[in-house]
Amino acid sequence: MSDNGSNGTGFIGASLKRKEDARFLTGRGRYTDDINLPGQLYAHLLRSTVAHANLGSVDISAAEAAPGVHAVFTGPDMEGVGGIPTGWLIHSKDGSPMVEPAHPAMAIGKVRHVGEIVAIVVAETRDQAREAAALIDIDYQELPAAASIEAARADGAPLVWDEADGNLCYDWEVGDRAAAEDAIAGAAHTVSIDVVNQRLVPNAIEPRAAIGSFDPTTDVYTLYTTSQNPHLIRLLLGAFVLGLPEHKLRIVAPDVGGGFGSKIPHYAEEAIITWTAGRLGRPVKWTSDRSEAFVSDTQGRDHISTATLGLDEDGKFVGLKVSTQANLGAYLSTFATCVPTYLYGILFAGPYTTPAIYCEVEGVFTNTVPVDALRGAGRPEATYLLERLVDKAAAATGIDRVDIRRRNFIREFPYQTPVALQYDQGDYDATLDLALEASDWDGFEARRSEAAGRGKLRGIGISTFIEACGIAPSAVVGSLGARAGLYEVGSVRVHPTGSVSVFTGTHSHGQGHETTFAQIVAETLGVDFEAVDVVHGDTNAIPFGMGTYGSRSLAVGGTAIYNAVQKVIAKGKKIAAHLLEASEEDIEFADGNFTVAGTDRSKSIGEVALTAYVPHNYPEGLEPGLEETAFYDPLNFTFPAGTHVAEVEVDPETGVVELVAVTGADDVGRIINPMIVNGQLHGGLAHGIGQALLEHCEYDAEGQLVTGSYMNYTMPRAGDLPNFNINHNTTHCTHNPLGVKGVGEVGSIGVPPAVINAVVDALSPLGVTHIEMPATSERVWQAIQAAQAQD
Amino acid sequence: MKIQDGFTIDAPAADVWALLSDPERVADLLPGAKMGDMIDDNTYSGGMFVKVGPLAVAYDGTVSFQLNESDRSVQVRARGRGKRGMGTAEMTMTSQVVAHGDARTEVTIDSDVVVTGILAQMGRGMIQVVSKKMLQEFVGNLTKALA
Repeated sequence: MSDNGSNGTGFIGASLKRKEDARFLTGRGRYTDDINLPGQLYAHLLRSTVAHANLGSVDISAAEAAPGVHAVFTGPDMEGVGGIPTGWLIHSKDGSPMVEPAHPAMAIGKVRHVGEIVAIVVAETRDQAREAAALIDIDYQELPAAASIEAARADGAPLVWDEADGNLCYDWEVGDRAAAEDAIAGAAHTVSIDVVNQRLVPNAIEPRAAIGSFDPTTDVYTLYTTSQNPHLIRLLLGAFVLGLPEHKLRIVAPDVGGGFGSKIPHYAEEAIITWTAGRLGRPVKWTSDRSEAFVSDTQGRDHISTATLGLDEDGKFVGLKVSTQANLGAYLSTFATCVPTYLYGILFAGPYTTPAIYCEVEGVFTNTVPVDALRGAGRPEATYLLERLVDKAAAATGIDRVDIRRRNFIREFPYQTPVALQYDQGDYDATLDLALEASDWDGFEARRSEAAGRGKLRGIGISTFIEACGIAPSAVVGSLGARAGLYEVGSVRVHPTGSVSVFTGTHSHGQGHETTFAQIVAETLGVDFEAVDVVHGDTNAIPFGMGTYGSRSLAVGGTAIYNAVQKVIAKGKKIAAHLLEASEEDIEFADGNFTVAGTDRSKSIGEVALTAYVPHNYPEGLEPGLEETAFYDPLNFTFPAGTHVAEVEVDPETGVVELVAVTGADDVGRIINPMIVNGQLHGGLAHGIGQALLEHCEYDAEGQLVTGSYMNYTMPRAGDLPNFNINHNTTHCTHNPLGVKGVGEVGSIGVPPAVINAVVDALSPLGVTHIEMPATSERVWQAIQAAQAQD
Repeated sequence: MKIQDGFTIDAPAADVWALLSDPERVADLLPGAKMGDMIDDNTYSGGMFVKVGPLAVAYDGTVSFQLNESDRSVQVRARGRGKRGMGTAEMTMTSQVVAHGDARTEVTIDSDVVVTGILAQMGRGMIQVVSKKMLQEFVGNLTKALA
């Protein structure tokens, strides 16, 4: 076995075609909405059309009498059922716990955002449920709304929650304030920046759906749901909301069409649908439509920040202070509170040796859709701020943009940052060098001149970044307020004839786990790739698990599977030693064969498996069977890192930005399937470019979502994207046996600042020093006009 | 959303005012509007059908008129609820008739429109355009009526 855990069968590192694609590409995927249960009824959820109102009378009588209607329930009907819980307790600077308001599944007395659920109508058909819902007469006694961070924090602002003064959920901090302020005060140069990280809509291709059912013969509830983490839903829905023990609640998350974080939270819909199915004794299905998704899926980002960086004479960073206001929305979604704190403030060292860092964050309630994790979750916000600030520092000090980054790189590992994280390793020079070469950075001025000849302003931008993935370990996150552990579970069942079923507590909704995990097992167990199937998404099939988010599946879930394989091998050695009449210590395992060291006497994994299930000639005292489970609690985060370079051309007459080149040089740790890794990088880059240039979720002052459809919320399309120039420089994570780090969020973290730095570089000859995301043609044109007006 | 608009028409101000101060005649000329029963001196029940992009919303509600003969202005307040759960719309519109000589009249229109629900979510960017188009049709109808 090589040092990286490979048996040399070649599955690890091969671009094998994805096992799951055959069914996806031929329309045979089985998504929640594809599932229909006998006797199923259909639900329509009536949602608030106003952002903030006292609920006067809610008259459901006409709806109840409408054709096909079985039941209509409103918030008070569910009284006694628990509220939707929050997964992470944050403490403020003064040690006080965050304000954690009640979160009823359906509105009681008040609505606090457009899209909040007011009633459920259950009927024979979907159309009947929808028609009947329109007959419900709701007396909204409208209240002024606090629909943005600024509005919510203004003096005399309307209160989203009476118990949250100033609409403040918490006022959190990390790092040493005095040290950072002293360092900045004594610095040779200081640079400040104000940035907005705009709100985004996640837009998974499959809208959310849920089917609840109740089996009166076993008293078991089953919920099919579009979730990234079925066991987490079972925990939250069972223990906190419905009061059901685990053995009476089964959660199935079948094929799921993308999540990007928006399918992590435990949603009120899951509770309402399961509860309603129990009340009616019939299965109940709800499927969101796209308009509904815009006002009910959790949204992402939405920060306003100001930051100051101090530098010494040589351009070394000496201190950084960041103050951020983060919009949490009207209710606290599952991980809403930790995204702008423990996934954000601790990122501010980036790849740099800044010795004193301080970050403070106000979590703010507003009358908007709840905010939760979105691809990168906190890390894109931190990286964008830091990399914009570094570019401004380069401009202010006259030091070259690449040089100033290099002067500050961390080169000694492990490295303890001033904001909690300890990086195990990395090679930031290597990815920077690779990106500079691959993007022909040095040849840029010639391209700029050539573009100028065509009347275009060409610019190039760079970002060098780290991310923290595979959030862990459990004891650490527990001490920081997490209400769950963040380990993962893998089970490996070698069947009597040598085929293998792998059970993982992670969940695949586009990541290709069925392929990647099979490659790991096929290689380490020495069996055929086709002989391995990966099972996920069913709490009845999988021992336990925490799910998929934060680029954790391979680093944490893959390691659990790897460790389970090692347990299988260890047991196999006992069986093989018995069959080969050798000592267990003398058995070596490679390429699927147990061999007595120094001899050609061996037994294959298939023979050992058969013996384990037909134990006629078997070691005394050893249990039959060949199946092992491993729980893996990681020792640390993993730290993927990289350099992204973007090149743009701006038309100064129209402000249109054309993204002409994107180069990535990434260190995502050991690569199991390069094609899947590059696919993840492409998707993340498209997502990040969408944020940089196109996407913007906006509410008006009354809290109406005004970008609630694809007519006014702009998603990136293929035509908006250049070919991606992807490069890898791989270093191995030191604390998991596979050496893997994570890749799913890289693009959305690394590329937005590179794109904006390129746009600002293109416009810098005109005197433009900053532009907010998304850099739409209108914003760019306005920035050009404003700069020219100043001349 | 505040919308400022207006038009000038070749007709005497007195004729224009006579028409604009008669709610039932205004409703006849306004595309999509339907006047119902009188609720009190100033208030009628009514309906409005609006097509905004791919959305067609039928509102039922009330409309009230506040006439001010002295400066020939009328304030119209309309509140409607969309059928089939399509949200609500509320409009306050102030129009004033200003004579420009004997045969030419300017009408200024200031409106404030608040919509909720699916129309706000999907069609907000188009409301101004749709309102301009409705006004154009209204002016066309008005011109014919006064001819």
